[in-house]
Amino acid sequence: MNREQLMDALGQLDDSLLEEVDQLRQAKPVSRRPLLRLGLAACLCLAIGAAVWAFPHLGTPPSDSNSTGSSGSGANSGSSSGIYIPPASVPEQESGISSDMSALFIYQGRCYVELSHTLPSQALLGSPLGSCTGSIDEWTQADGYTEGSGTISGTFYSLQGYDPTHLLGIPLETGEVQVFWNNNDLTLTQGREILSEMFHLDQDLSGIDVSQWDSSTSVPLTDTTCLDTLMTASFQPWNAPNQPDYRLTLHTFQGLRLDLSLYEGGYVTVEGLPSAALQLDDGVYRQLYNHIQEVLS
Amino acid sequence: MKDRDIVALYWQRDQEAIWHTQEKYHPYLMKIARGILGSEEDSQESVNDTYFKAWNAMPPHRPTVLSTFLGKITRQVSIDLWRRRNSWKRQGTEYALCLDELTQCTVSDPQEEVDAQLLAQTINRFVSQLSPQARALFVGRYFYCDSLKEVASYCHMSQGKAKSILFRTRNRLRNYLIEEGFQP
Repeated sequence: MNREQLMDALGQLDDSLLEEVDQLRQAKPVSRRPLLRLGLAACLCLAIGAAVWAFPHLGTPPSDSNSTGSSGSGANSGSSSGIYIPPASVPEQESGISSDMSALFIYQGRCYVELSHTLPSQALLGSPLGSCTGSIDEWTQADGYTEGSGTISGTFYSLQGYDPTHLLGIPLETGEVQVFWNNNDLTLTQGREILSEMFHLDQDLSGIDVSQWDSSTSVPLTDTTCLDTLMTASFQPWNAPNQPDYRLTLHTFQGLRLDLSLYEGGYVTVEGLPSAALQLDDGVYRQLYNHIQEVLS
Repeated sequence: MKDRDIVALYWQRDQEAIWHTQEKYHPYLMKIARGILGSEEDSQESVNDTYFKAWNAMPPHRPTVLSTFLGKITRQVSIDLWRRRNSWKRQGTEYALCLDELTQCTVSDPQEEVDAQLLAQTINRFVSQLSPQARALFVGRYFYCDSLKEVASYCHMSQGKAKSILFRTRNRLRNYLIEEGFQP
């Protein structure tokens, strides 16, 4: 058999299968963000589950400097010592049912999960650090979660100017770079630990776009001082009671983008971290809401 | 006009059938042809051939879903046309990329003849067993030859994730073909 015979055979797929896919193809494009959000929450569980499965030491709040922020004294304690983002339980696998898996890979014992936005060019790529195999799927056994394994294959690189313990990139054939971040097995106390230490947004912020949660149309915020407030805001355990009101997309001059969700009451979550929220004080929250409503009107 | 009315025109040998087909499905068919051929001129030729073949196929065929019936014709006509072109023109189309990717799935001597019907049935079974998400990606990429960006978009996921799922699906197809006896 050769690949052309395979291609010819694919031409004889059942009409019912083609019709099913055709409906998707013909559907009016919609923003993938709402689905992505739900997916990310599920995928994060899988990613973290995969990590703890492969690396049993995960799950214990770290005591060294490898972790962002100060060490937590208890999982999701919400105390001043921070919120520990623990590895979740390994998802149960039901025979014959495929899980919705996010792209992830394991490097130096850390589990890197994809961000929702890609870098538009490869200019930021640094040195190649290793490669991962696409060997992990929903049926992979525990011994398959090894160093260098992942749900995606390719060579991963450092990103120039960014700490490789936080961010790595894999170039795509489209010329873009898929960004991955190590967003689990860490303790968070303040927003700056992600916004500044990981993404350097305190120095490199080029703008903030805002949109209604369920809209793909965004407009720039003219006043970006809310970032200062987010830097010093404290994380607390979070279980989203409903959909957020707004989405904030933070842009850097280097092309990195990070999505935040803003909920009623001044709670802000970072993409991929559904179980921790920054809390703005009431005055700042009201001011930010008024500003958002002003620019969106 | 509804598909069944267009098909009825074909059966009545009314040439209005082709006009209505063109009006309803020309952009759809051109999209498939472009993915395989790249060139606008060749794609137009391929779609014109599709209308001719549809005219000859109905009767005896009476498709219930005209889009997939015509889409299959366009796909095969475009592939045949692609194969007739010189190798230097075989670059840069989604079809060429799809072929490269499917090399991962081939499991035996490239020269070996296989039972095309058996292979088609096997692939049908494989695709039917995929999750809806993986199926949409796989069929979109390898039947319709949509770009990675397009399949990721209408499946509402990042290109990285789509690429990852496609990679794993191709690996599964290879293993499935081996299990089903397509071995060297």
